[in-house]
Amino acid sequence: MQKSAVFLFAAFVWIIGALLPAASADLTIPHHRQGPVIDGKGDDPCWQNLPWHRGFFKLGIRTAASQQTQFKVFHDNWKLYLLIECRESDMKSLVCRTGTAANDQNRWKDDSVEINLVPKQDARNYYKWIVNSAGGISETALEDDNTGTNNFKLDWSFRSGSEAKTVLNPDSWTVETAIPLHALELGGADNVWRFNIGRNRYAGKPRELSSFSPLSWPKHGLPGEFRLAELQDLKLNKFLWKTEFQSGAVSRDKTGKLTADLTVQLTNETGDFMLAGIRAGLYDKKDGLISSFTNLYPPRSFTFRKMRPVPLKLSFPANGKYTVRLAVVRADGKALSARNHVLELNYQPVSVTVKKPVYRNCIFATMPDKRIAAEIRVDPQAYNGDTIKIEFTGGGKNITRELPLKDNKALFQYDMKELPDGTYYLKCGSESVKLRKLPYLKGEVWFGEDGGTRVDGKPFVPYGWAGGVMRDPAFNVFSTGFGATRSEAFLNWFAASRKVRPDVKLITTPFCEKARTFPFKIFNYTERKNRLTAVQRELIAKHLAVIGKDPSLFCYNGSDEPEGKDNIPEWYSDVRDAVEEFDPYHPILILNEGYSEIGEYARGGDVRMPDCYVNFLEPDTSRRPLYTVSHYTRKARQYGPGWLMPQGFCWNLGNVQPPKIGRPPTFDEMRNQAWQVFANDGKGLVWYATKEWSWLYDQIPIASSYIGQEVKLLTEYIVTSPDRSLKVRTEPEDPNFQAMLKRVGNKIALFAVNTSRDPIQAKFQFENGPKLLHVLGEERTVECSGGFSDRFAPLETHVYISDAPPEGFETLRQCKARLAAARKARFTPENLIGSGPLNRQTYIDIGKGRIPENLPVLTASSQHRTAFTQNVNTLYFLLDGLRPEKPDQNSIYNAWMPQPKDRNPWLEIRLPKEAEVREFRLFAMREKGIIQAEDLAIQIRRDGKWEELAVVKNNQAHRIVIPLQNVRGNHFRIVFSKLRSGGPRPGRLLSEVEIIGAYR
Amino acid sequence: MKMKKFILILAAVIGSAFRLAAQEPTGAAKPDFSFDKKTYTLKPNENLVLEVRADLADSWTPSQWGLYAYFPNVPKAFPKESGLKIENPKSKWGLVRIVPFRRLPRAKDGKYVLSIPTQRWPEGCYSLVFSGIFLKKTPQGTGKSHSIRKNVYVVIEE
Repeated sequence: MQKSAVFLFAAFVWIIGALLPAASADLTIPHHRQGPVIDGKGDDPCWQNLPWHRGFFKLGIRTAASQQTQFKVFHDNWKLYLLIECRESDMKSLVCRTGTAANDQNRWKDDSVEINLVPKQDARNYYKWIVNSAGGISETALEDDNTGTNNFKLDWSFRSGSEAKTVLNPDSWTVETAIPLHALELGGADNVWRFNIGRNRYAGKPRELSSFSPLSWPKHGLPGEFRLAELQDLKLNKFLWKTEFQSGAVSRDKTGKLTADLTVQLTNETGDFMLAGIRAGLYDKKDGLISSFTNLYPPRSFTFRKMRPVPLKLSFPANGKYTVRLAVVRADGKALSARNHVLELNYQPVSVTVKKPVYRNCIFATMPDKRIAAEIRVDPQAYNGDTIKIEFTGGGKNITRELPLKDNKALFQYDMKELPDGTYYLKCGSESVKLRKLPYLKGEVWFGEDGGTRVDGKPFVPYGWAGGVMRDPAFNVFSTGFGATRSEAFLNWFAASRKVRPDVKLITTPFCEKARTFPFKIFNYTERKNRLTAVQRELIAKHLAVIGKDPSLFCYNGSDEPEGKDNIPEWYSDVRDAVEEFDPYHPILILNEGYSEIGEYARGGDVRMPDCYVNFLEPDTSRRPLYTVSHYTRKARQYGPGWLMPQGFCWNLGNVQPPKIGRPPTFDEMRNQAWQVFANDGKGLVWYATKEWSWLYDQIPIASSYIGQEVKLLTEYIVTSPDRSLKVRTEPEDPNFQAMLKRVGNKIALFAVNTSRDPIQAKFQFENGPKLLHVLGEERTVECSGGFSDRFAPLETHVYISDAPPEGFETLRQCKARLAAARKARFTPENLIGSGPLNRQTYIDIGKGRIPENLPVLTASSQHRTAFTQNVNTLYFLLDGLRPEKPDQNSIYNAWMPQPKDRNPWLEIRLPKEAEVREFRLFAMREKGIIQAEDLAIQIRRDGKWEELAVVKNNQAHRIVIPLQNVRGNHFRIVFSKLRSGGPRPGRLLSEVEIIGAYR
Repeated sequence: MKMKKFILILAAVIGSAFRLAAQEPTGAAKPDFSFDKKTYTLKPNENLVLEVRADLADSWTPSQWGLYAYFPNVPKAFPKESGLKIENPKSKWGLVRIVPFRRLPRAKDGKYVLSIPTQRWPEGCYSLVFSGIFLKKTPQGTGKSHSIRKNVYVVIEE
């Protein structure tokens, strides 16, 4: 009795805890000026007056751990100090297999404590230090893998410089540790962090995993559930730095020593003036220090937001991949920031770099300029001469030239206009570079120096959706995860897509296996952890030989967040090389979700198209700042052509605690995201995704279509390089205001986006502008004299153009009116089961049996769930669902799909109360062009039996209207006695059901 | 006539240039000075104690020193909070006069210990400019002056 009372009380506390908004901190981490000596003893004065924090729970349940743990904690604004005491009744049985070996990844299998810091509230990234009873410490940085499943990628290369010491007592062991804060990514963090200490106990039986924060699952990695800790008087600004590496020269001295002369671009984001330099170490694959370098004195002056180059010189033993651990160091030697950078260091005494053409060393038939230009660089230590000999061969030509060297560089230029198509080689010493002049292929794709796409030589801005092909001309590309066992099936699919859209452009996989199974075996994600195998390469060659000439093919994509699947960048790099070799006409993109991985995997694609979901939250916020879209776009563009895959769906926030409920982006947020991409010189955009929770929400198809019209109008501007003369000032100052000026001939376009949720006044200054600019879609103009000033509402986007929009171009006002009408149309008067589109969390709640009181109870003979509708009751999509009469019904994925074997499906509807019903309206879906619902009946439950009310035979219509004679009741059933077959796969049967009547 | 006058003037100019060059023997370096620390790390309100070592040939005599800072090279709150004299307050490159120019006596061992109070200086990084003026000794007394400016790097933190 007592136990159950305690359990009930604990459950009550848990529920109340979960419902309360997470505003106030659960514990305070005080600030002290002086840290302790780290010796494990905990006898320094700084610990004396601090409270012990107690009360560890077993993982996953609200039960006190049998062996308790307590800790003290404080910070000195540089480090976090912890004194942790682990009570242990069986000290002799402590497990300590990893000893003091640094960064052993199996340390969690020892008796150990896990210290977790989550600086940012979004809990996408966090840091973990594991310390065992010997004082061995392992540290890792974790990043959400973007699947909404509480899984995190671990970066074991993270180093913070932490130290730990332990002391073993008769009935406890104690950890004293200091964790420097400078190695953490702290941009966007405030003084309230999520914090947890976990304990892994293997001494004694059974093993016990416990945690300071009560966690709902038996795993330590639930950062969204960690307790909130307020770090008092925390000053984080000094840690805010950006570091970017620039490639540099690699040389070899007379002794054979290799040295890389690099440049690090440091940007001071601290908010104030700083004096700083750098300290760097070069590490090999085994984490061994190869060389180090310090450039601190005299310190460099960094005014706020000033980017300054700092030279960095590192010696290395042989060509290869290395990790540079780079610390920004304040003038007094204190570290302000530490980051890892992976660098490929290659020494070449003579190097040949093709500067023109910029893409794939290929001259395409539709390129107006067919000149090539190559830069030859020599290492003066290895080559002394005033000239250098080059040889250009191919197409029956053999051209030899002696080029003058200036500053150890020479330039070779040649116009290939008159040369025949074929393969050419530019040779210089032992270096040889392949160039190709290609015959014309319909639909050939290449990139200009501006990073913009050309299809058949014409500017092209890829703008579309991940998902099925749509008729809407606003979209020109569709990306799909289409996979088939035969390459020929791709051609059939291309042809079928052309029936929907003759001008369709498709992004598809370069992989195809002649196996009878899907998903892949040979190309499975588990097979991407080494270099590309000969078998994989051969399959790519065969597949591309079949599909590479299809005019509907636009681009390949063989990646889907490979960093979360432990795939190595080199595998994707090999794939890229294979695609370039076997199909020079179509680029391949690389898709990452991690910001830093965009650079790490950059060589895996001709185009970088990261997916960047800011995770929109109810009521009007987002998990990541909206300007993250700009950061991702800039990063993608840093390595060449860059597109973006932004969030066009309602995201499930598995690891963000209630009441943070995911929501789809609004119309303005859709437009804001899109124009952020183009205001950062992004060259394309593919929304994710029609198959996800997108079309369910009216603003998503309407906004994305509207933006598509804008993109189409401004294609030439988006494709071209930016005019950097634009100067922007905002009031209030906002570093995340995005603006870009583009110029085509004597006309301009200016894209400007307010990414903040506050109004902003922006002043733009530029030269050679027109006197008047039209604001696209806004039925207004601005006067322009060397610039102009304009007001931006929160999240507002303005696009300014020289020319008036064409006649009939829909305005924003008209589009928003259309959106309002579409929303209104979802609600049919007198529909007894109208609900409007619900948010994704509500569908999930219903899936768990928590049905809101005002909704009917829906059950069915079966329902087929896809990867996108797991844990969801899909029947509820039928309440105010989508209407398949729309031309793009292909995008309606939120519908009822019975199981494939269920050939006589039925749907049961219990109304909240008895009503008088006069009509049923069903909206039937097409599957493979066929309406499946053929014969059906409406039934009512009376006296424990089903009675038939109406029958429909040989239905051919999308919209099935079934009149009834004012039937009273609250329990109905729709029974399908005959279905037409739309294909081998289960079909979507209905997208909406309406019951017309009144509650009387 | 005009040509003759021009040649005479030219000869005088060249002659005086040679004479000046002869007075400045090679190796008799211009004055220089250095500080005892690369960076001065202070607690708030702690005096900035600069130990300046002057490298001064007998042909030079110390004259004046001063300490100042440009707005962009100090914490943004410093110009206002320090209460020190500000020059060109509206300019981006406004200047805070920390120690106005004052007499610099000749030190026997060439070492000066200068103590500068930092009351009301906010925490942060400072790139200050230490300026020393030295005068060339001539038979007539002192001649031309030589000014040296060097940065003093300071970090103030609790």
